[in-house]
Amino acid sequence: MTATKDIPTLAEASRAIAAGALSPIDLVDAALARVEEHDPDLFAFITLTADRARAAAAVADREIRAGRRIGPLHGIPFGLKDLYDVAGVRTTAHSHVLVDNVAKADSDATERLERAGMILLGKLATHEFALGAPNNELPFPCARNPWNTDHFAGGSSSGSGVAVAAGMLPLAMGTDTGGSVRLPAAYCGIVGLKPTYGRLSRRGIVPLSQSLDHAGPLTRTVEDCAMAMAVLAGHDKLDPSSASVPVSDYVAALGQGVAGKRIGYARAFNAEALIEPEEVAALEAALAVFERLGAEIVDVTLPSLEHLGAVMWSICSAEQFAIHQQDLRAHPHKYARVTRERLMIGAFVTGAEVAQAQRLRRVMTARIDAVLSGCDAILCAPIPAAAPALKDVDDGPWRKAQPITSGFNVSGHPGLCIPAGFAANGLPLSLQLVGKLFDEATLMAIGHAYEIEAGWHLKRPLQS
Amino acid sequence: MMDEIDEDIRVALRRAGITIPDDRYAAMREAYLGYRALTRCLHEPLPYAVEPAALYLPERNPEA
Repeated sequence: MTATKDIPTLAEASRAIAAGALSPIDLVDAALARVEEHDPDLFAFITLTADRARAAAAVADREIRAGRRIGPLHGIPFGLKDLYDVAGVRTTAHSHVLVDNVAKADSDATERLERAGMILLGKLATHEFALGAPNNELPFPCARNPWNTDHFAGGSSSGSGVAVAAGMLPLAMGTDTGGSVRLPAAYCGIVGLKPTYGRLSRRGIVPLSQSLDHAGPLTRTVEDCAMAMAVLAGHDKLDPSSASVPVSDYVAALGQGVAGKRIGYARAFNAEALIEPEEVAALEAALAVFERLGAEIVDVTLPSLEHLGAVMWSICSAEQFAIHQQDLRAHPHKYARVTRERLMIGAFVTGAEVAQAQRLRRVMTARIDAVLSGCDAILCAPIPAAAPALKDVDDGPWRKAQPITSGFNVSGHPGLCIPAGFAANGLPLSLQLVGKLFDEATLMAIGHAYEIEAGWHLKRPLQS
Repeated sequence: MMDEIDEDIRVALRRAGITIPDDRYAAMREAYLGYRALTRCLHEPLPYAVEPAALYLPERNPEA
């Protein structure tokens, strides 16, 4: 087999297609060749929709040649975490429970991306029901980190992170209940956005915890993230949690830059989260980049991880147990041990705890809003260190360290992860920018300015 | 001998209609204690006036 190359980013592919230098047929073939070369080691895909993709590419090619290009994403492939429905294609949630589940209708994201002319290449690995951890009890293998396959790819949108990082896809959709877009983005060295709660519809996505679940894109660059959000964002009247809030021109807003912006640095939050020195150094190097670009840095104080964690895990445990209780009673053996045990924690939650957590949730959200009234974005760590070895990933029912990203699922604020350097072992480090509710435009503008100046996104895994 | 914690776990599992295999009981007991420790602050007093709605109402339209 000939060694393949990364397929282009969304922006690169879009420009090349517009110029007539690249056809959707060649692009889809290149993506499939990349998958064929690397997926046997990385296991990003659960279902590859190759025939469907080739047919769609032929149609897109004809349309574009005939002068009927729909928009900048026309003819470019994408992937979906295997929680998103596509009519006629199975949605397994990476679980024996849903292994034969064929969707009857498209998710909102599927509809929007295909309406923009994008081409589905396949459905991607996840932790079981977006909850478990890597294990060998599942119907499909778990995705592997392309920087080092002995290391964790992050989760739960692991296949989405791996497929984008490995250059198989320029865009993959994930979901984020406690960090599941941002963590694989951070561990795989790419960009991941958890938008504001309500910004993207969750219609047609297998839920984990309804008041904490967010849909979000994973891409190689912030510019690509903005291009995807331009298509994905908007009110969906069929999803009661979807917000009727005007959508900004995210791509145009990238040019805002960061000069004159105030970046709040959550130093104490990072200390409380026991961030390791390499990740702290990466964040402090990022602060220097922001200052060089003309931003003002201010120290900010976030609510304690203890309070955010209490709210997060009481609500999440209760909501996920409510969803899975019948299956847990009827056929618990269909879940992997780690998933089953984490779901069962919901049986320990009391009604009073959930009621009190909902009250505290509003208090925490107001405190984060207050912090953001004094700055344009908060900089904090999404991960304590680079990706751990797979053998060290905690697969107990109660994780000894909960994801530090989850506080912004509690509050609903948007969080953007961007590559921020590399650890001594060669694995990626990452930073997280958190923005005002529904102000993803400013968040991406700040992230884009950093990304261009720092240039970490240019270092890629699997380069032959 | 069953202590108060074991009794709490037994009741919670019975009410939920689920069971834990004997060989996993110790791990789930540890999980129960971890959950209880993390959520201790939910049992601290919160004055009525602090947040009167007790509802999750995500921001719907900041420009409205």
